[in-house]
Amino acid sequence: MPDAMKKTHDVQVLKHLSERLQALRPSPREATARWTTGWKDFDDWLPGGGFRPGGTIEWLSSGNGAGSLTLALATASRATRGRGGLVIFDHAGDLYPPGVFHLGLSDRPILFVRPSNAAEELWAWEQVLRSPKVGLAIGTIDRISDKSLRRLNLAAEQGETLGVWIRPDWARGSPCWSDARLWVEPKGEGSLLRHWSVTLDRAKNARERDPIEVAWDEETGSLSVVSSLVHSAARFSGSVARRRSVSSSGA
Amino acid sequence: MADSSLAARRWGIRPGMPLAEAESLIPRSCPLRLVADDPAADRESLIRLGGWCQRFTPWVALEASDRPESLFLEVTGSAHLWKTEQRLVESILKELQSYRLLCRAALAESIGGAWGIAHWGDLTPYPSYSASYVDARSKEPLRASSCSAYRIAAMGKMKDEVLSLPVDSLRLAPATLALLAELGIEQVGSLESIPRASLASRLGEEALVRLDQALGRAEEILTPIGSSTRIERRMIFEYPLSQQAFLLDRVDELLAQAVHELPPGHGFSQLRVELVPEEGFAASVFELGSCRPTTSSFHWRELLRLSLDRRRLDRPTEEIRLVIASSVPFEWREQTLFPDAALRSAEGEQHWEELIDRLSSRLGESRVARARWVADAQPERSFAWMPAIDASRRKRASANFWPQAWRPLRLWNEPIRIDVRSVVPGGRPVWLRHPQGQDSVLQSWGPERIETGWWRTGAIARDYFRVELATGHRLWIFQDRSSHQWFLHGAFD
Repeated sequence: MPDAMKKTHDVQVLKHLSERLQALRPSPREATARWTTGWKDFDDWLPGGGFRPGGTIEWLSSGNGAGSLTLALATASRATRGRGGLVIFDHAGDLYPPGVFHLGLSDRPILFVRPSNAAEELWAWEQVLRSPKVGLAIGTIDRISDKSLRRLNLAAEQGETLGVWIRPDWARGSPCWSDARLWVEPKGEGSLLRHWSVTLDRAKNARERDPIEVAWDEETGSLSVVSSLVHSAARFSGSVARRRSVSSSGA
Repeated sequence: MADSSLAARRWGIRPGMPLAEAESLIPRSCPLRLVADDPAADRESLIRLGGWCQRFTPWVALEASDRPESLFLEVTGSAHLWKTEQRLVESILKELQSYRLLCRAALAESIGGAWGIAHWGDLTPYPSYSASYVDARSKEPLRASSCSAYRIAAMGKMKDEVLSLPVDSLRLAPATLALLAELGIEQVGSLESIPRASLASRLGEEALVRLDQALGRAEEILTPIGSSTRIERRMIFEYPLSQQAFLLDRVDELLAQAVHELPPGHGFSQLRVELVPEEGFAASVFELGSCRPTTSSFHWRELLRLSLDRRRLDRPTEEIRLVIASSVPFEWREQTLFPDAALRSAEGEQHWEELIDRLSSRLGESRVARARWVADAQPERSFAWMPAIDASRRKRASANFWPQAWRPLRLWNEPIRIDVRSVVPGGRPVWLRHPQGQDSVLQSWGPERIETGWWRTGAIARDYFRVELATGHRLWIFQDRSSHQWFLHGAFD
């Protein structure tokens, strides 16, 4: 290929890549508007400082009883309070309303959608996310194509609805189309407070974050960040080193 | 015998008696006139009488029953026209007497209370001198049932009056009344003194609702006479139609015709569309519903389209039938000092209801639901799904009250049998094998003993534990107290 042609080709490739990058970048509104949970430490840890209106978040769960739904519902419902109704998807038919309302959600309109098959479920998700009067749509999504996920993202953006999906842990290796993918692992502490380690697996336009440990008080319905796992480990090892140095100097 | 006249009762003829037995009680010399029981005609007569009663108040409703025998008049805004409530009631009785109609009337703060007092209360005969009437044959004073009578419950005193009435005054099902008789509960006051939770589990929710309605604690919805208009339209095609777009256009045309027949200011919230194929095949029936009354053909067309997406037609359509069962007045919304906020709120509510309409049409009404707490100790029966479209029509809150007990987010209808080990027999769980594997138990909270009454079929007795496994997962398990087997029932997901 002659040099001139190669140069033109390279410019076109660069232009194309630049356009694709532009498309992936958030708009100025997206970059600034955030719905916060009110739990400052947790908000600070989230990419962008909260949930983006019209954004989607994936929470990965490690099986029954892991607590991902509790954490996702508690944080997202708090962030979207006063911003429209709450729609909960329950395709498996095992969601238990007394447990849902125990999280303190009875002050807003709540709709339970229980589709009978995958096609109807996808259609219903789109309708709900596109509705301007729905603040939060949350539910479990197992197997779904990338194309469908992209459609749901666009629907959420159109309706400015926050979409939250609970996904199984095997989805960890699949491409992420959401604003963020959070991996939740329960930690056995043997106390009334529930402890989880939360890892930011992937996030759009956000730098990497250290995993955090959060504690959920079911009685008061409050969430606190116990520690940043990596930082706390670093701080701990640092203090040990200093202690060692002090003892050695005294010797 | 469905009923009998006063004269026939003097011969011992009572409702419920076999006809042959009744005939045997009447001497041959006495003419017995038999009239065939016709509930539909009775109902029509009562509706006509209700229309006549609209001279006292525009809001007259028929009792919601298979065999209605009462009319309800809302006199809140019209009693002052007769100066006193007593004059109003006496005017009604007087006018009815001029048509040789005897009536038992009660005026109270609740519909249920008025019904109970009218049927079972201590009424004053009208006119007052009729109390001195004496039966010509038996020479005994006429009973209140033999003349018109009424009672006006003083404002704020209705509750006391209702509590002193027999339980029959609550409009309960015969089976419930029989159960109450077996339990020796005769008065409403005795029923009221029983804790609500056990009342619901023993007698069902109907008893609670009726009790609350009688005491004015629960609202009761009645449709005024004259507000319903049944409209039917049909269109037959020379050639069968199979394309959805053409069918929807024809439904649009029929809707436009039907809307013209509605009373001014009325819409409809239920529409039945029947698509009839060639002779010999069953029609496809679509019951469409909307949260609020509307005449928007666009809205109904969209709902039908969504329903057609769900259930495709096997055969071309030869005829379309469209039925509007009843019309409903449009809701008027009060304006506020802040029109922008009001508009936003009204528009928001409309968007929300339109979403419910669309989802219900495509997925089915039962699959778009709100949850309602049910006073039942058994976890899997402690809530009920209520179609969201119905809840919106009744403007009933979905979840005003939920007991604050630790409950899992997921619960399986069929508990899963698991293996559990304890340090001592009957002790706390320390290890369990569940569908995802086996784990030691780090911590457990419980037991929470849940039992249902012996009188219920399938009574349960369970000891529930919240357990935290070594992995941090939290499950809800129980030990059946009769079989001592362990089950996994839910997960704190």
